[in-house]
Amino acid sequence: MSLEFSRTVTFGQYINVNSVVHRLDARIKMLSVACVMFCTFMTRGFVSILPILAIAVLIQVTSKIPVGYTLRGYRLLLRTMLFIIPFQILFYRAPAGVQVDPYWQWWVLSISPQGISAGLYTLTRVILLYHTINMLMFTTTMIDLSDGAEILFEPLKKLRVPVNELVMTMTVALKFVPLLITELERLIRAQTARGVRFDTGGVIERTKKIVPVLIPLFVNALNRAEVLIVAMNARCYHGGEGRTKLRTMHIASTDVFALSIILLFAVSAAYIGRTFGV
Amino acid sequence: MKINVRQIVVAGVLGAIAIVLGVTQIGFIPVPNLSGSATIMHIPAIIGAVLEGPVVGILAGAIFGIFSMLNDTSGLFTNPVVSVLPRILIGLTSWYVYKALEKRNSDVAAAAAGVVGTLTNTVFVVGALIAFGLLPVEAVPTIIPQALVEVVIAAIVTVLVARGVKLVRSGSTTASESKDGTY
Repeated sequence: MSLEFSRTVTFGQYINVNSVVHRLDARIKMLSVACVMFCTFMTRGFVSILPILAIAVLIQVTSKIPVGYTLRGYRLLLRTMLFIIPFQILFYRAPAGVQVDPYWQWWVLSISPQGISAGLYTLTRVILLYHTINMLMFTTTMIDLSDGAEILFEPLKKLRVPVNELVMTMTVALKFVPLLITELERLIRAQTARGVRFDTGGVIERTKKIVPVLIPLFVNALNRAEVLIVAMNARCYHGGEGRTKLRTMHIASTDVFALSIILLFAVSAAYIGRTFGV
Repeated sequence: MKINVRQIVVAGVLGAIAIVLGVTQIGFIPVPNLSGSATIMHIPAIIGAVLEGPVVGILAGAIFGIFSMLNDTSGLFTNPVVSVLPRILIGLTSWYVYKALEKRNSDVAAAAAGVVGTLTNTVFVVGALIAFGLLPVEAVPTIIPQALVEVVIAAIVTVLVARGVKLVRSGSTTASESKDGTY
């Protein structure tokens, strides 16, 4: 195990390239992602998912994120899928009215073209959802995301949802991450210096090793929290009312254009899926 | 609903711990199982519920959930119903259990909160995966060893951390390394 997390850890996956997608307003990007994800769940087969695929390709190309970089992220995904997809194929149960002609069948297990196609469809859908989220993370900084969320969810304030407070919680978490990584690194080093090896041992042994790291991590983090609480109270923090922003977000015509293209594709995918079921 | 500064900050910090456990891989303990590891990333949410009440537990769980959605590597957690919703419930259930048992014995209560919180996470995540057709029901037995390990780890870790934090807060010991409060 490496002792230098702060060098190897990539938190938030923002990739600093100057592209059209990077420059889009965070709110627009989040709306688009939500819309694409929702419509992906509405698709029913390979035909209806095509527009979603088109969106994925379009974003990939315009974002200037290297294709190799995106693909590298798929390794872990594919490993999980290698385990899930065979299950889906073997235990495929045809919906009513679908004729199944299996190549092979035993008890509830079977291998049929319908099962394989259903498995591959699930895989495609998972990859596309994953790609959509990843592209958002690659092209938008965490701070832009939380600023965007604050404005996007503003209507919820009418329902007495404390939007500003929720976003502030997220912001506090994001700001504390690098700090706590350094802290954790220090604790791990302290334990290593005492001869603890974190990369060996069974489940129980590893749990025993991790507790002396976790307790000071929590205690220190909560102590830091106390300091921040005092600081925020001293500055009279009271949620959103009347607070102003250092940077304000603006929606430009490119934002509207991008959103309408994505809406067009995503809604057509959902429409095809719902009406034709393919 | 009103959330005060204390709840915001403590939940934020606990959420940050969950994120840190995730990105540094410290929060994953290898298990001989198909998914490969048991997680302790949900424990900050349980601790939040135990130490500060349901609001902090829920918020810390929500941060963990949002993080697992945004930083998903398996492709299964892109759906917020799978990744965020179950994690919000962790704080709620573990707080109820802790509250119910606290009067008798706070260690037992913390352990029970750890167990229930972990089961909430496992059951609702797996349930949502099945409901969305991402995981066939038949694959559930392969998750059981991991779930058992997570329950045991959570029961132990929750008790120890809760006890440690309470001890330090009670003032009978000091945790800071220098007297001026800087670490």
